[in-house]
Amino acid sequence: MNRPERHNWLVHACVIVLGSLLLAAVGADVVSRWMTRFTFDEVNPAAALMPPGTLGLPQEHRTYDGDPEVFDVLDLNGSGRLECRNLESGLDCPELKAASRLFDALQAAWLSSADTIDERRLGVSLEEWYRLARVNLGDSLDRFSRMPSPDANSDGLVDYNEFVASTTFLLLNEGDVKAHQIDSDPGLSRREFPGAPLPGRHLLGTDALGRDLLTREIYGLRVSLLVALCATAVSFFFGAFLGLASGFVGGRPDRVFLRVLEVLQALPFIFVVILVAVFTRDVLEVRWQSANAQALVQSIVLFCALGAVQWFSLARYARGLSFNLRNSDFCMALVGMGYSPAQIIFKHLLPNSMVPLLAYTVLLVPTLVLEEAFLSFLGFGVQPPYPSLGILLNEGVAVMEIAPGVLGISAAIIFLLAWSLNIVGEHLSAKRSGGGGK
Amino acid sequence: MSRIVRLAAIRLTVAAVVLLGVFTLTFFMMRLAPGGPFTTMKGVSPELAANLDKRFGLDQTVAAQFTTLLGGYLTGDLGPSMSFSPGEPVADILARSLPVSLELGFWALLLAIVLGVVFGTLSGLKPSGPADLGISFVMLGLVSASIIVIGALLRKLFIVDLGWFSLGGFDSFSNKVLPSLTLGLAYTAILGRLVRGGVVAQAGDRTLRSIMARGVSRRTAIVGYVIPRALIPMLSYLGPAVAGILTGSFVVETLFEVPGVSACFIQGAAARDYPLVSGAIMTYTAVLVLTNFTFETLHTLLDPRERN
Repeated sequence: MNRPERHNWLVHACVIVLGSLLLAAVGADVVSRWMTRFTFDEVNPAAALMPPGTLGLPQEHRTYDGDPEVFDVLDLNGSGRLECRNLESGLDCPELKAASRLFDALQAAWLSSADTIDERRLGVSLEEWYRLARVNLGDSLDRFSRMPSPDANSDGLVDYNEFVASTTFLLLNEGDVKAHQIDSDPGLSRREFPGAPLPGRHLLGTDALGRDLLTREIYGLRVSLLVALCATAVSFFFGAFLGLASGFVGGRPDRVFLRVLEVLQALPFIFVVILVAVFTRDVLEVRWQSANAQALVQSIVLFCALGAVQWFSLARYARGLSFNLRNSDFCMALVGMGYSPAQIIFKHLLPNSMVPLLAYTVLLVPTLVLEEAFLSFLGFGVQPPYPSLGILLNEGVAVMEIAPGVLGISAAIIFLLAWSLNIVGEHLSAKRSGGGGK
Repeated sequence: MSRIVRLAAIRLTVAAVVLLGVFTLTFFMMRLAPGGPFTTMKGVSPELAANLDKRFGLDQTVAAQFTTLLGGYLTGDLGPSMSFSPGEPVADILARSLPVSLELGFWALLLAIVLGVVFGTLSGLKPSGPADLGISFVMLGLVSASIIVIGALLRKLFIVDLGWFSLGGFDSFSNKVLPSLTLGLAYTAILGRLVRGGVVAQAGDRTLRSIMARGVSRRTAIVGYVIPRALIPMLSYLGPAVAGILTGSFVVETLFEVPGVSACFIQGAAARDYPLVSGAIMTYTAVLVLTNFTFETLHTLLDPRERN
């Protein structure tokens, strides 16, 4: 327990780091208005990620993630680029549309003819597959001569796995286009990718959609901290009250409570949180039209769900505290004076165990920051257009081959945040259990 | 002995109730949200969606679907996948992906135990020494970095920049190393801390000195006495660790494109594939419940205090 003193300089450094991160999160609007001059969802097409080979593509078709051969087929006029003549409207993109149409047509055909074949295994015949591909791609299909047969296991039937495999060979998944032919292209150069600062405009460069990276990082920090703190409050609410009550009541209810905690702690709750996230997303899509309101409600549900599954260890700790206090003189006196259990718990046990409880709760914050990042990373957490540390990490991973800066900055921020929270939290709890001053 | 049997019976009952509860919760949460597996599918007309709904029995009442699926589970039929891989039995998908997830978890756990014991012992033998401070520093860093950052940086460094390993799949050395390493490193920190606590408690004990007084060398005393005792707190953590490693594999499987159960679950949940989601969740719950049951029963058998 002598370690806190030896680490004092480290703890101080962490407090300073935490303070500046908090300051940045609170002052995100000021930074956005006066320093970066961008909002977190403001798209700047001039600085957007435009990989060579995708000159002038509209926003939603920005990156190409496919086989080079596929690229050649989609490039109907053989210019070496997927072109859009009208960037503003994003309408005049025959090459991308052909690709998109192909996927839709193949999937619809596959599904509609599916149930004629077999009871268990669904599929379309090989001839039908080729017919559809020819209708949609025309003569460019012949350039696929080296493509393996879509019927991989040669049973005369293209089943769903084969369908997806062969079609992703052909198509752009949801119209996504990622970097291609980096070396030979006369389009934008590598230096203009995100992460490369454009002097005077973007301090840290932009992300894949041309949004100012610094602004997004700061807002992401704010959203993540907000979600984590609210989730901590929710878990404090459940954990502290249930734990204190259980420890105070004691006896059989207490034993049952501990047993239930044990069972709950062992369950895979991350599944439940993901299901809740999917559920609210679908409900909100029907009820609310505004994307911003949707994202907001989704975040609130998210931190409630996170908090509701993170209180078990806290409850155990609170239970231990009140179990020790229940036989103390002042508790006996209160019981003797005829106070009700609820009064004792709220008015006396809670204030008396507040400091150790809070010290313990601080350690929950980094866990919840990481949980939020984890969910958002998988796409079940905070929803776009709002940034959060998890979303920024996800975007960073998506473009890390051409723009490692996006990933690096997001990783550094989340690491610094969790690390200093952990060190400060450990310092606080060590001081509580070791010092015993107050 | 009869007490152990009775305890086991109680635990099995709790396990059955938990399984049923998770099944019911999952089922209704999926079904009660608006929309369905085919309404959001690309290129599917409303008529086609209605046809598909009929084919997969989604036009029946929710209660009827529930009893059908529950009856199927009791007889070992997990239903057909709907939008992830239409028509393919969920049992087949799981039989394909579960071994992958289990193998990933096994390597990760092995790595975490080996590294955790080595570093935990090193740092516990001289608390607050330079080795301890350094190792604690790195361990806390690993915990704070989280699986996402560790995995993303490893992928960037070893796959994108150096090209030493390959991405996707889980069938060869070159695509098994990084996922296992990422998942293992995240748990090394936790196990290492537990081992360190055990070693500090044991090595500081006078028993170590008295063993050495009998002429046993320090090294033998540490390997033969301190480390085995220090492992006990770690063993009791292994149950929850298995749970954590299973859920932690979400990020790892997504990041390294490993075709495991988590990957199926995430795609299934996004595509509203009801039977697949139920199947994946029930698989994980069953694994967890079984692990816990085994560890608890073992604990009862091994610990004399629990036996009576």
